[in-house]
Amino acid sequence: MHQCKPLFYILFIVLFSCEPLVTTFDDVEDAVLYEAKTFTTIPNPDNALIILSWNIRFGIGRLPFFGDSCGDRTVMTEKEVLDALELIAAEIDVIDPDIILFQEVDRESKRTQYIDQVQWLLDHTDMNYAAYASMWQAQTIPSDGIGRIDAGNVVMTRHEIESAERIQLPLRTDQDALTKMFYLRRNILKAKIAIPDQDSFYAVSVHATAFATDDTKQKHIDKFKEVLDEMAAAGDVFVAGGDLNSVPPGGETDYCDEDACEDDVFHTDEDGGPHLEGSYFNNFENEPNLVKHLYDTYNSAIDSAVAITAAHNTHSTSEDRFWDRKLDYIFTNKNVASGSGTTFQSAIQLSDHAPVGCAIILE
Amino acid sequence: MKNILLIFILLSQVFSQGEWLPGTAHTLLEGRWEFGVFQPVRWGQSEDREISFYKLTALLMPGVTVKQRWLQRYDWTVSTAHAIYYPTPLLKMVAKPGIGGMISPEFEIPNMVSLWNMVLASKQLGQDKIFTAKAGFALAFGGSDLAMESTIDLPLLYHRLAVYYNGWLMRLGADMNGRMNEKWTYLVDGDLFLIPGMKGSFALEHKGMVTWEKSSRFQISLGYKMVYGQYPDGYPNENITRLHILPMIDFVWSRN
Repeated sequence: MHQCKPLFYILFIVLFSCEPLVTTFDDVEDAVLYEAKTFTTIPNPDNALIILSWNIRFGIGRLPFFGDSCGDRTVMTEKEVLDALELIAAEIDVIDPDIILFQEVDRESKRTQYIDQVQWLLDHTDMNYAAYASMWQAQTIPSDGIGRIDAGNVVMTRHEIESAERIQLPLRTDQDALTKMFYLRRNILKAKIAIPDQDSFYAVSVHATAFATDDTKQKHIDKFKEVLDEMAAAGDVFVAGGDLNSVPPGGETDYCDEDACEDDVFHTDEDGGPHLEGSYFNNFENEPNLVKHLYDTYNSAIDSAVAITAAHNTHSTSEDRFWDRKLDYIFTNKNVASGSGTTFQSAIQLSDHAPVGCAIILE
Repeated sequence: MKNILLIFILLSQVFSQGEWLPGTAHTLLEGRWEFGVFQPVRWGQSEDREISFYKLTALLMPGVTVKQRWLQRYDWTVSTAHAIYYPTPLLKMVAKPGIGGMISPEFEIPNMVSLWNMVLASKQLGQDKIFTAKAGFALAFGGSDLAMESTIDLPLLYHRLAVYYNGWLMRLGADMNGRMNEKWTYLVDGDLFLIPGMKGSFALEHKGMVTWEKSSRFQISLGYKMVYGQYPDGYPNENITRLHILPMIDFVWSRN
């Protein structure tokens, strides 16, 4: 008797289990809301709010993750992740922000031992509320041992979040269908926060594509600006920021040499190409100036005049290199307190991105 | 394609490991051979002993099962089944970078073996039904250096591979096979995996199937598999339970 039972079990696990293998999202849908286990006193904003934007690299500090640092690891231990989160929480305590715009936060991922980092950070800092929007959610990623994944953007604040929505960003068009199905679905997270004496106050966290070689990054930043423009036109107040994966106007655009791993092949053609994905910021016309419209329209934590100076670089791919480019930004349609814009470059061991902060003035 | 095949082999082989094949305490008739594409080759070695092993992927996950019938009296049949598996080559093959990597290549896969032992007791209930109760345990050796972070946390796989991480596990189960009429039969079963001391320490699996016997050589089965299992989780929880319901279809070819 021949029985093919195992074959069909497997096919149906993949095709028909209750939970989708890969989660897809509507163009706009509600974000996931969180509360801290215990609340801390909500302070009176005193006419100003301290804002922080930080890509925390899913709480693994500078551990050699295979995907972004010439590393050879995929799955971290619980202790490694908790140790890194402790350091991140300590840095937050020192900076003492009112609102944090996070990127790359894990909450149900094999690679970080399924620690819900949103809840953990709420429970280990003075933050009280959070909103979460996933950019990568799948039962399993059958590659490199990644397994289950759920990672995304977060808005975290001491003040109550009234509502929050996840706005889908366009998918990359330079990938094959299978890769695209399992790949990231980036988003803009827009949260309405109950700030005293402010009718419509929003915090927006965004993480634009890093590795696209087509014009997806242009679409992401265009959409980001469109969302901000709509709020500004409606008379809303916002702080918005995140990892835009774009250099400031006038900044260097080729980091292939800095980022290259052993065996990488690049710069071999007559025209200087090919380039390493994520390390080259001139893939299409006007890519080096993607952020210019944001600088021209809104106030920023770090003024454009100093954005390309070493003191405001926010990223490096290796812990052996100090911050060598700026990718992280905060914009607002309120005024930024003079001299408050800060790039916290001492946090070199806590992530591959430095936090950026400023104080905005609430008139 | 090669990578998809790899994943498929992993899943099918691991799933087959520890299955209660062929489901009752009865053994094959002496001298009878049965061959399957994915099922093991079965041989009635004597009137009360059956030996089975995999052929297609024997090099990736070698294993052999011996089922010994100890008692056949009135309506009762009692057997024990004993299996040994060597999963190391297969797990090493899927501990790889890139697509098909179900385990991160950072983890070492040591040489391991598992021994699965079970008691099966079947009772004929009237003309058309057989009830089978099963109880057993599995032991694994060589897995002490296996990193806990290297588990494959998927239904059917996690709890079967858990024996290599935990050193042992228990299984309990029951089957009811029955015939509705000349052409239709049914099967309802339940299996409980218990892995004390490990995150994700249980799984309850249930299957319901009906089978249409087109002829003595071909039949089609339709049904579902339900897996209610506990899996590892992180802060603020230690474990998380998930329910998976999987439709099933089964094509069976027979040869006498």
